[in-house]
Amino acid sequence: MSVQRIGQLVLVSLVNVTVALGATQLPLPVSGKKTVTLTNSVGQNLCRFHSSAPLEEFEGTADEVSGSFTLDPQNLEATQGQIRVTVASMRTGIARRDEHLRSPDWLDAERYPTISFDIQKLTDVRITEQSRGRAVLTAKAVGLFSLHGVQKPMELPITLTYVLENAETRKRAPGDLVMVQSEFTLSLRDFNIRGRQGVIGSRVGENIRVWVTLYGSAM
Amino acid sequence: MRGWELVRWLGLFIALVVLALWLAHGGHVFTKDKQMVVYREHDPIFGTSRERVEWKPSFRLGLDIAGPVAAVGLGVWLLGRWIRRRKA
Repeated sequence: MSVQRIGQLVLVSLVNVTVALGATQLPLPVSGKKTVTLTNSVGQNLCRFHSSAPLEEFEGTADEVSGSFTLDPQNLEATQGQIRVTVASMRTGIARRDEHLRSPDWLDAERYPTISFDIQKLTDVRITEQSRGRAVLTAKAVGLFSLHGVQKPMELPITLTYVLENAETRKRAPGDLVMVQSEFTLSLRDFNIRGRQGVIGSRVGENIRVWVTLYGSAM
Repeated sequence: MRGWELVRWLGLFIALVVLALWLAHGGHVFTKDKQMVVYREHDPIFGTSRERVEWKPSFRLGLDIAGPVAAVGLGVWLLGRWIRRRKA
């Protein structure tokens, strides 16, 4: 083996090590950046939330979830995009409470009709499962969370499952399929949501637990 | 006098029925008109369970309605008892 050939191998190895240090690759044969668009044909895009207060515990949902994000299989950390939830789609099981939720005292759906999360990057990406045509990774989605007109930088823990297109996936949507799950807590105070006097802390929890499940197809 | 006795016992009956109904509906503080139904099924594509949520109309009596109704019923019963003792 010539000195030149050894030099080339060392250089390639160094490049690979550098890439591996800075960027995590999707362990699947996917080429080029993919745009993942949320669609309910893959699965129900849904936010569930739970409030716990001395006078009452309640659960709610928001099912108008939309958005998209770009995913670079060679550099998962560079993932960017936006997820939006329509405030008007929030339900809690009591029609009057739903009306209150949308009112100016609470989320003020007229002025702030959507809750959004702008994904700026992923950190702490770890591939946790890898099988034929499917990869699962955990990461922290770093971005800006916008609620009630207030923007706050947040790091949300996510689990992302990527499935290569096959005969089964095509029954739901064309392209590779993606599922993202996340669970986190929101503080109402952080987003300047005060509600009617005395309600937060007695009938509505100061912190709201949120579970998000997103489904999309990657093209 | 007999009519008033009937009203008195009817008041107690209504109070007890309403409280029993409230307990049977889960003893919630606030009356609910919908119930969240979660359907879970195995998702072979993603290898996890897939959830689908629907809100179905379902009336569950809360203390916000049951409380005042029971209080009025009990009030009628106590008032009748007081009148009866006063007349005796």
